[in-house]
Amino acid sequence: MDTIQDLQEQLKSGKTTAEGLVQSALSKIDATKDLNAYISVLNERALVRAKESDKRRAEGKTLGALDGIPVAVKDNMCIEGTRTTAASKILENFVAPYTATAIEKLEAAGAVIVGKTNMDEFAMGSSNETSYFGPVKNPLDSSRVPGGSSGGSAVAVASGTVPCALGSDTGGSIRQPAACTGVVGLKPTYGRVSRYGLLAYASSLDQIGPFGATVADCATLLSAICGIDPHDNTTSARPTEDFGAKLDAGIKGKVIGVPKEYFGEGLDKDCKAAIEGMLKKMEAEGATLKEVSLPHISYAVSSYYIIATAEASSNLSRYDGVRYGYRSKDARKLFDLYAKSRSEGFGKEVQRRILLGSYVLSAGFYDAYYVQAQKVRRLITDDFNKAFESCDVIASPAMPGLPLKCGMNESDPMAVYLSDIYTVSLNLAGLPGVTVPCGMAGGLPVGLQWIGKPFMEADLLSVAAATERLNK
Amino acid sequence: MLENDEVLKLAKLSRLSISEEEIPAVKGHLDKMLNHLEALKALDLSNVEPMTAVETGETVLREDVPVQGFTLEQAFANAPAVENDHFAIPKVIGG
Repeated sequence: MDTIQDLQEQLKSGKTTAEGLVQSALSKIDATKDLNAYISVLNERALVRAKESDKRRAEGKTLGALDGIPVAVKDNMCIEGTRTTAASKILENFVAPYTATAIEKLEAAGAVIVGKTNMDEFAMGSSNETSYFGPVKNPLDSSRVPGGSSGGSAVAVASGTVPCALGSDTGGSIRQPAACTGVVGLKPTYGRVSRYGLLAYASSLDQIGPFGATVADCATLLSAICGIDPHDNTTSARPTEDFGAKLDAGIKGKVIGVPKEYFGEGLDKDCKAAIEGMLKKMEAEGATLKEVSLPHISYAVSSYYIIATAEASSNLSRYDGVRYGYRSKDARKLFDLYAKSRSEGFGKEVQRRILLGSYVLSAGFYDAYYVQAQKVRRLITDDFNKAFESCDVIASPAMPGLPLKCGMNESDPMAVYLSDIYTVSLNLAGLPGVTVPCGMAGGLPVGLQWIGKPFMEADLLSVAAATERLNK
Repeated sequence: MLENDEVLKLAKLSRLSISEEEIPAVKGHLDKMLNHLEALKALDLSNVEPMTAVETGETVLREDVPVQGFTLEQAFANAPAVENDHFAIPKVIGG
């Protein structure tokens, strides 16, 4: 699989052109249609932009590492004049009137967006089975899901249609599909990347981040999309940086925190063995393993599902069949127009989450559920702060086991929620996390999730790059 | 355990239409979920301050400069029904 760096060398040497790369990406997308990774393919738009990139190169005005590189983006990010669906019937024909900041930055760096990827509807799911446009298939094992909710972006990279992609992560939606498909996925610190133009699921948890075949490619993408944005007042004013600067630093002298709660009951033994095998290799390279404790972590899934669904029930109230989106054909009264449009337009999982969100916010239950979940959110954040007093980075599984078997989201949604156990806590605390393959179990890659201190992505990626080297 | 009328009230609050046949499945899922949340509910957290968002210690401000918003054409481009430069909805008064 060619990396961004490989493709840049081919462009520099004249072995290929940006137009050639886009054409090759488009034919690969066509050849892998059965994986259902894309909702829309932007053929003409991409070819126009590729030609512009080639023109810049010919004039000696190339923009940098991403100029001419084909990229895929999750279909919950707006691109002006193109369809943006969030994989929902309610937005099946929605054409975005503006462009998301992360996409604007990507295109300003010369990247060429070739398509919008499939996902769980409104990013609600860990299996990619809740999409109105049908499930995405895992290219490594068709009986198992590719993970979600950014499964299309993960598969777009894993199947080689593009070297890198953007996804969004509210509770693990980048890190889990990366683990399921054997690629690298990074959720940056909350506030690192603008959410302007990202269709909101849970605003205090959502964050855009990159997928790549390599850690270096994720670093390149993050460097391009990060930074303060006047359209999103939760973005940090910290200066942008080169997140690839420390990739060769190695792990000698680093202290790796190993949470005792993470490696006990509930973790598949083969996955555990793969992760522990990698940690031993790191110890041999000069890292120190240190047991740490996250005492409130067993409440993370509960806290997450209360906060995420509460925010979702509020955020998704905008889909009312009036200003944009699907409208029911047979509503005669205003209330029916809202209720029928939403019930016909939203899938089952989205409706389940809206209902739960309405419940935990409703009079009489607000304090017992929503405020209580926010208190647990603080305890979990405090646990991480305390753990980071004695270590540089924390090692964690990405998932409790192999990717889930297809069909579980309908047969046992609760079990699917519980599979988010290792990823949701980072969103609650706002921490950066990256999943990188560390070994194999049952013939499938196992993802190791590295958790970093806030805004220390360069250090986090340095450890991920060391993992990548030791996994070769 | 939720009662059927509680499920319907929740649907109304959520502006969702749930048929009688759909109630058992919706209720089953919500009951399962609420049961799982019992352990969190039971914690004594009277001394803990709720965390409403990730606290970065930063307050980012921008200049309050007027900018061009959407044109009418852009605002109506995705609307299901438009009449006389307004979003059209079913009649709500006089009938």
